[in-house]
Amino acid sequence: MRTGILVAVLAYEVIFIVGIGWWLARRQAAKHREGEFVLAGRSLPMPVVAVTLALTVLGTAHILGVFEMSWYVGAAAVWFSIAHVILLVVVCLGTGLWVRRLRLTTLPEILETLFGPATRLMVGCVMAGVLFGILTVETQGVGIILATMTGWSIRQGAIAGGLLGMAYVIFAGMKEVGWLNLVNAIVMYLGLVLAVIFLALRLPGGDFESVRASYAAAGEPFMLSIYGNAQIMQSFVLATVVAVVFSQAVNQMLMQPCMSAADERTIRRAMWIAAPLNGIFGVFAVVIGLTAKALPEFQALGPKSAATAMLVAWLPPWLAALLLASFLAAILSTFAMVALAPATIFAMDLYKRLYRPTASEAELTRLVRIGIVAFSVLAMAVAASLPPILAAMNWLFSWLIPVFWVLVIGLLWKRSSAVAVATLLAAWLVNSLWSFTGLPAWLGLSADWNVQATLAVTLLVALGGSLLAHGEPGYFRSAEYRSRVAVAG
Amino acid sequence: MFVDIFIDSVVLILGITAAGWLIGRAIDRLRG
Repeated sequence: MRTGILVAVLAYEVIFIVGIGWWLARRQAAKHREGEFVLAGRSLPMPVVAVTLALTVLGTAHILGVFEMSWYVGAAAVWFSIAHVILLVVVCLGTGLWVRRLRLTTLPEILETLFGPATRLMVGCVMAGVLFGILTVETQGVGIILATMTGWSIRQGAIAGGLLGMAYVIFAGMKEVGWLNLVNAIVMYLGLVLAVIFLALRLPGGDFESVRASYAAAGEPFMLSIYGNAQIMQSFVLATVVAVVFSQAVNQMLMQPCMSAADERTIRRAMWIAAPLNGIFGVFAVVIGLTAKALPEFQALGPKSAATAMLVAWLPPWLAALLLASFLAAILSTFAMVALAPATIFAMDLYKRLYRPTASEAELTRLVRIGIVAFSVLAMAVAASLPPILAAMNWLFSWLIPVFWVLVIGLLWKRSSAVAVATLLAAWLVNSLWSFTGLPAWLGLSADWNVQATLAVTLLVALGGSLLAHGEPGYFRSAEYRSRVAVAG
Repeated sequence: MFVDIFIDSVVLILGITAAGWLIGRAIDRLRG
């Protein structure tokens, strides 16, 4: 048990999360009273939009997921970050501009406008499932951090982590999570850069030459190239790029800063800061992961714990504590968001809409709380099976691939509710069959290719269906859109 | 090792960003 570091990390969480959250809430309340509070959005300047875009998507997968994946695919694990670079380009030049232009508040709003309430409900249900899946990954992340500091197993850590996560949702609240994330991500980014410098200084010769030599000696020089080898590019890299770009480009977390930007030009310019800032983060994570695997004393701990154990053992205690604390804060804030979101969808979109339209506010709040506890307990149980983090994330993201394409086609080309529903159902069916039956083996393809299979079916049904079926012209070509933009000014 | 990975990644990241920006401009011009 590393008591000193554990106490420092818990102190950071309490002071940072509860303290700053409380201070921000007070500030917000004061602004409300003075009447200075301008509609939170539609006024953010370029640097704030850029940094928010780059850092809101930094969570467990970017940190612990890349540490772990570099164990299997080497430096090519950086493609998880590079996929986010492509994603940010698509957001800043496409979907982000659209949501700003249409003055949306949530993304499902536009799905209902384009295809009606049934599509919105279907997507809402699947999104809740995906969010629950991400919750299990975040629970595993808290488990790894706690296990590093206490000497418990990751499974025990995941159970304690789930309880800590529930406490976080209850005590920290949700309103200020965005700002907390941003400040914490800056601490985490600087901590990671410092960690790489300190690690290099501790290695023989004061640089990473010994790490390179160890991979060369093991006959694995491809582990040091971001292009890996052909097999890694075809499976991991392709799946990661497709899954990240075509699911996250419609993610509410990324759309929010775009909706709040001062104008479309602000979003376009933000790309030049947001994309590199997010992309380069992965380089530091990959180098730490590769170094941990090259050192026998940490290699023995396995892919999930080696890197964090090395950081605790090799860095000065203040830096190790700061880094682990910022990792934990990042994971807990994502935990809170992904615990609250499915509980809210369950209460609002299912319970209230379908069963009890007259439900009171107090009844719904109680239901959300019960939902958070239920989803968190289930997440603890699933997290104990410890799937590889990035593989799990890619699988989860693949469920949202058809949502992206249905939306893009509906906005730019043609709107047909039947084609939209058929695309969603076909893609989800193939994803399920690919993952849980012998279909890939029967086709003579890899079982890991579910992302590629989902994309192929999505494109086939969505493009083929739109070509053949009747439908209204794309929303951007409709009179409704022109009048909406004219009113928005 | 770190320098190689860093340079490869930065070249790729800036290349993707610049390519995206050029494509965006080309689409804007085509749409007038």
